[in-house]
Amino acid sequence: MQVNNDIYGSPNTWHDIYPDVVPNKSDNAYSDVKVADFGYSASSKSWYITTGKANNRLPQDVNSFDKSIAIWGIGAKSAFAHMVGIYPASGGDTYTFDVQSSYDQMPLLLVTQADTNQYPEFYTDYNYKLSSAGDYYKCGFVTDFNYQSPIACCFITAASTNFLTDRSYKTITVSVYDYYHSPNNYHVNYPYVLEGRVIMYIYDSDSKTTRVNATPAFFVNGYRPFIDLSTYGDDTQYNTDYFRLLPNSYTGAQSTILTVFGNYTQRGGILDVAIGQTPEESFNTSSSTAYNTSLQLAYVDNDAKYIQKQRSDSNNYHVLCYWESPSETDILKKFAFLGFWFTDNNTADNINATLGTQCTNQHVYLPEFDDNGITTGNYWAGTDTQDKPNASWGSARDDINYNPDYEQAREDEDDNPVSNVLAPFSFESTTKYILTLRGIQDVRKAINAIPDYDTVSQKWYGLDPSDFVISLYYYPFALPQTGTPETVTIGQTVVTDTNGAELTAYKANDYIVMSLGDIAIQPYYNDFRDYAPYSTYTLYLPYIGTYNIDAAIFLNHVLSVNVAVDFNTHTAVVTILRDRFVYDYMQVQIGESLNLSAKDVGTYYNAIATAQSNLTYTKASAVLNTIANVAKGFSSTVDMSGSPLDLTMAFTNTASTLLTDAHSIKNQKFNIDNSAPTPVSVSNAGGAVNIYFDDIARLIVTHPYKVIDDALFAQQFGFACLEVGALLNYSGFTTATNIQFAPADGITAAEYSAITSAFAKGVILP
Amino acid sequence: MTIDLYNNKSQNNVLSKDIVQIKKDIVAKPYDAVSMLNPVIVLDYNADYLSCNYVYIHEWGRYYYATLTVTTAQTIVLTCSVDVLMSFKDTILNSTACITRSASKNHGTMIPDATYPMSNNRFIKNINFPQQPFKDKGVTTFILEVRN
Repeated sequence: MQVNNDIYGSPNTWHDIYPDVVPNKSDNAYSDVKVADFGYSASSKSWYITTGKANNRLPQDVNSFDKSIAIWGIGAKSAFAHMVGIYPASGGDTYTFDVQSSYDQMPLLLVTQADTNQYPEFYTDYNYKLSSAGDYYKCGFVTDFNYQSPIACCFITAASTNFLTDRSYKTITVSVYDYYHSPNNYHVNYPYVLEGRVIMYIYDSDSKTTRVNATPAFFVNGYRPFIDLSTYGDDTQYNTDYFRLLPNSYTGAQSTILTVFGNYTQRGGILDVAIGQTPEESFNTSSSTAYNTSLQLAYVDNDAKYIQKQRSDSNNYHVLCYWESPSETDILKKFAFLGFWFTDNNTADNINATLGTQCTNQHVYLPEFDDNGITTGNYWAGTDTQDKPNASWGSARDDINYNPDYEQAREDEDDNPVSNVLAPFSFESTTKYILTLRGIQDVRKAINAIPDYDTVSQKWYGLDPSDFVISLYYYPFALPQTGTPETVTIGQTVVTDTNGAELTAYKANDYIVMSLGDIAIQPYYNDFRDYAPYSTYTLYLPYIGTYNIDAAIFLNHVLSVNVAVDFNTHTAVVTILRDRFVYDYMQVQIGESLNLSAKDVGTYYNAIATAQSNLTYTKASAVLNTIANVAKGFSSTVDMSGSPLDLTMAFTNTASTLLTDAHSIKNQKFNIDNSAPTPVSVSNAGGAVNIYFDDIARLIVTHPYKVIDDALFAQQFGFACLEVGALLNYSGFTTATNIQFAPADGITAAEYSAITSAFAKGVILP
Repeated sequence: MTIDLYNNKSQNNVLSKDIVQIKKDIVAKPYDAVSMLNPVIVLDYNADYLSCNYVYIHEWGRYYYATLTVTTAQTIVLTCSVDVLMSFKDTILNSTACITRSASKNHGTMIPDATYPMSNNRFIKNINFPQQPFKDKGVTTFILEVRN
């Protein structure tokens, strides 16, 4: 590893690992993280997580610290990540934690540096990321200066507990010390907000970490005050309205025990908490650790409407929490206070962000800082970050050759304080499944079967499949399917069919090209009547529209059509070829979005009306009736209060009605005014409206019926021509101009004029 | 002047008239001084001449449309106007011109002809493409795009 000595000093100045040395609490800000395996008590250990302040050895001189930066990110390239050690409380192995590349996906963590003028008390209380890929621990602390409250973000992976075989649980005890307000006992003496986040990993047989495919039962979210359940009776349900405010008299609250407690069921090779069960928290009163106190603290979600304490045995209590949906905005805001980038959709397998590029991922949130570099709780995401300089993935600051002097000069030019996190996230890729109506029904069932996961952290797990649905498009025709069907997976949810089997579907590539083949356009009359305005040639492409073929261009030539459907834009590019060379193209919307947002009937109605006005046979009165039927079908079928997928079903059902209506359209004769060519008409309403159109791609040719015998017409009028020749080569009715008379004697000028006039009107030649 | 009397059965715009001779080489006198293009000729009355509507005047080598009038003086007056088509038939046929309409061209031309009367009714031909990827009405396909 290369180290930026300008920032972190040389490695030999770093804080060393001192085995069997417990940091001096009076000199260091630190917290305890105790990890215990209930099922494997022999391996229970207690760890101290120290800061770089230990032994008064900072990772670098404080004066060299870039104070303009309130929040520092730690990534794989950051030397800070290597400044943290874990000390076993009772001796034993010492672990040095390194940031492993496999953990870069973790949306952690911060090193915070307060504004030294505003919050001098925190100036030296650095908090560091603690991670260990090899030992499955990952923990970090940040300071929320806005609250002046330490907030612990603990990321713990299952170590020895075998979740693959056991119904198991793990416990972590987090002790929070407040040296500023309580320098003597280091313990909080007023209610702190402690935020716990737990991400569980399972090591599989290949020693690869796999995220647990569910939320651990205790994984409650939000910001919860400590309450003392010992004062309340067992098996009684309480309205948490009474618990929201903690009495300031609470002192000595030094530890909170969170116990993973869940029922795990096998699914897909990894284990999962049974979905739909009531989450539970338990607290344990029998721990022998020194940090247990007489206080029995429970960790109750602020948004839990009710809690119920249950005593299961002499030593254990379970607290059942019943949630009401918290505001996701509030949660995001809380996260934004932490000052680091975060996501509500951690699809961690797709880390491919490029440093220096602008992040406009709508699921990546960028916190806002005030002029003092303090988080405001506001955040930006998606395109809102485009004009934010700190929305850039990484920066020169992350570079190992970073020069703080140079950076300071840059900072002076910046309007916003800069928060930099080394690209812990990824730009996502997507999968497009080609599904039938039945498949969509299965998908809907899968989505509806899972409770509403509406909190940020749960969404990190990919538990809410609706978060993973980007779009749903409807095509009223069968798409070519190639390759091998694959299991339909939405986030972490494997979709199953009605028989319980995994639903499989072909994947759609970015586009497909469908060739319609060739049509050799031959004349019918073999004269001018094969051309406009007498005859019309209309290319009809189902679900796309019509296109007028110019007989002057295509008669006696080969017409070919290719349709390329782009599954990214859901448009079709229609290429029209003449004798295999491109003559023209057009792009139309062909897929009908049935996105997650609800559609209103008016939108469909307008789309239908627009499409109809653009289509050739708008003039057919029956079309108007059909429009009315369409609108009626939607309005009578669509339940606007239902989910979008319900709407999909409603639409599909309506489509069958439309098909019936289509026959009335199909049977309509084109009523084309022969005085004007048919305009090019391309549907812009997509497949939804066009569903009731004919599905045969074809060239529609119209010729006029004859109303006069050709011989009679020729006798009376002759046929138009424009050629120069000797009049003796013509016969019958003939009109001519510019007569070049053969030599003749004695013809007067008046007679020449008379002959010319006669041919202007028509002369019947022998 | 010497004239031939004919009965013309053709329309005026016919180049080569269908004429039947009534009397040949009649010596007639013009009515006063007459124009070559529109002469007036006076004949003694003869009932055989009454079907005459076409005249050839030898001295001028021209055919004329004739309008016959019987007078009370027992004479026949022929009011004539020259038929330039018949008179100069050979000259015309040997002339070249820009032909704008001709019955002899039949339907070989592709020049649009606004004169040609068309029916408002049309017949439709559907020429289907060999491949029909959009067929199978009723088959619905959904593209579900999900994040990986």
